[in-house]
Amino acid sequence: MTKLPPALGRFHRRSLRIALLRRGLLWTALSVAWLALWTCLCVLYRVPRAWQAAAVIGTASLLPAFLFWPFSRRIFLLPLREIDRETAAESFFEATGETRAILGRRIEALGPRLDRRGGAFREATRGLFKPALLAVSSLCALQLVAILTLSHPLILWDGGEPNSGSGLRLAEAKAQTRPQSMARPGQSPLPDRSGREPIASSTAREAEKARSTSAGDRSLRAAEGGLGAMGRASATAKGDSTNPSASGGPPSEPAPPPNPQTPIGADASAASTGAGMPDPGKGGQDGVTGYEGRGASGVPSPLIDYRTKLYKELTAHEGRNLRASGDLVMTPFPELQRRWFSSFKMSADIGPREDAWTALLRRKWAQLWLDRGSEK
Amino acid sequence: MRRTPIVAALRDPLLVAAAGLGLWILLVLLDRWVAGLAMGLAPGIAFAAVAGPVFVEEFVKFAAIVAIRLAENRIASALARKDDPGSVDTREDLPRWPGLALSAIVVFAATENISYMVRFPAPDTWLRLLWSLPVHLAGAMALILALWRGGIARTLLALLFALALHLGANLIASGNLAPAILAAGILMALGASFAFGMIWLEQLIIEGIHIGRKHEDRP
Repeated sequence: MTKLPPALGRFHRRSLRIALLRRGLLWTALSVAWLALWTCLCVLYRVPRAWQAAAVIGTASLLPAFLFWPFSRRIFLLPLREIDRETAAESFFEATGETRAILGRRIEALGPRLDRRGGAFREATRGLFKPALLAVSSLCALQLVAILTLSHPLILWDGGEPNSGSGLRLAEAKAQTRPQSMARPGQSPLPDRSGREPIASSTAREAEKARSTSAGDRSLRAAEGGLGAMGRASATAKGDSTNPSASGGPPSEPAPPPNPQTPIGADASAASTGAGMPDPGKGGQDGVTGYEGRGASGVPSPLIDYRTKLYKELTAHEGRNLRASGDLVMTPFPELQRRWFSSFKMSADIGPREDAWTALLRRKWAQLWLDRGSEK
Repeated sequence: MRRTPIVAALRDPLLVAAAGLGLWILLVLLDRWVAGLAMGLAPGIAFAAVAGPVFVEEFVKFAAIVAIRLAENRIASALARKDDPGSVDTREDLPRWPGLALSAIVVFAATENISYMVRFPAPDTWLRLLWSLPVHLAGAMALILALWRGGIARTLLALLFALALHLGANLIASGNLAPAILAAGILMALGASFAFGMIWLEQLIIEGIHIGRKHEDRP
């Protein structure tokens, strides 16, 4: 096979690099346009997230087809003919003997002109204005559709799963769902200090969600019950936290009735940190620190949790059609606000904590001394 | 220069897309049948269930590449540019069938990735972009370059390479995938596809510019 003269090889390789860059840019523009339009359809028709991911992986997989699609000789020969007007390079391969040697020398003489440098990006982007405009237009259309339908901008559709949305919807979804990042692979299977089970699977997450809801309801019911339940025995508080039905029972089971002997303070603190979540103020007992929206956070903010519960309460009173518009009825709001904040002021006089076994031992000793005294 | 009619411009992409999709449908049906057959003939041997579909897949892909080569050489080249007499003699253009055949294989791989993502929308399915796609790409490039250069021994060697690469990847993926093996497999597949890509661009494109179809005509 006849080898290319070095100068000619360098010239063609530069043309090839420009062609590949051009194809890469074309693929980028068309991919952005296609994915934006597909995302519009996903948003409008609530397509499952898997189909969005499938569109992305399919588009990414097609890049080699763009790069290795058949090349035309024209993109190599037309720039060459602008420099080599005597077509010495093209004739070189047809010639033999002395003619070929002469043509080879001519090609080498063209060397400095063939070794063009710079301007590759400008050449590669020439004529790509329409695809770029199409990509930008598609992105604008996607943002328009997203803002009109979801009330927030969007890059990729996530299928409308619980961690999507904004405002109170986002808060409610996040406050009721334990983030997956908290289910660490190496988490101990033993219950933690509060007696909760480790979260290691979606089933466990469901159980956590049910527990969260039941704990929140318990705190609300207890708050509604007033102070009557307060001050009664506190020794069973620990027993409630290890209650299997309250800490990891099947999610399908109904929530247990509120324990009248449960101290309000304990329940309220659990509710304020997301129903059994580690207290963020203590630096995270599970090793997860920070609030959501701040880096690798995993713990719901108490403020967002408060807003969620308030919103739930408003919804329970006003129905699902509640809108923050002109017809919003604000009458129950002050009462709800008072009740909610009053729960933080609650206090309970709790007697000294005593272990049942110690108490029994003390009583036996006392009885023994009493018996001895009576014998004397 | 005359503008290429839109129908003529879309003809090759549509044919390639149809070929890739058809290949995927055919192989889905064949893989199920062959895997069932292998498990029936050699029950308890997991290797048979993995190797059977791989052999079928590579042979069908090889047949598809040969079919595209024959079709492009005999039919498409006669029709493709009869109405586009440019300043360059297009009858001596760069061979089109390698690019078309590779694109059909890429469409097949993309369809396979889409089907996996729809069925298993897990984060590790994204690894198919680094794992499965390069395996298909490297195997197809080896076969196409061997057919383009000619020679039975070279073609058989390329077929063996494609089979070994695909079988190795599937055997690793069907077992417990240790991170080190996964990383080594990804690097090997990416390296092979990159190396074949460079050979493709250098020999098939750069050296083919001034020689055109004469590459294929030589003994």
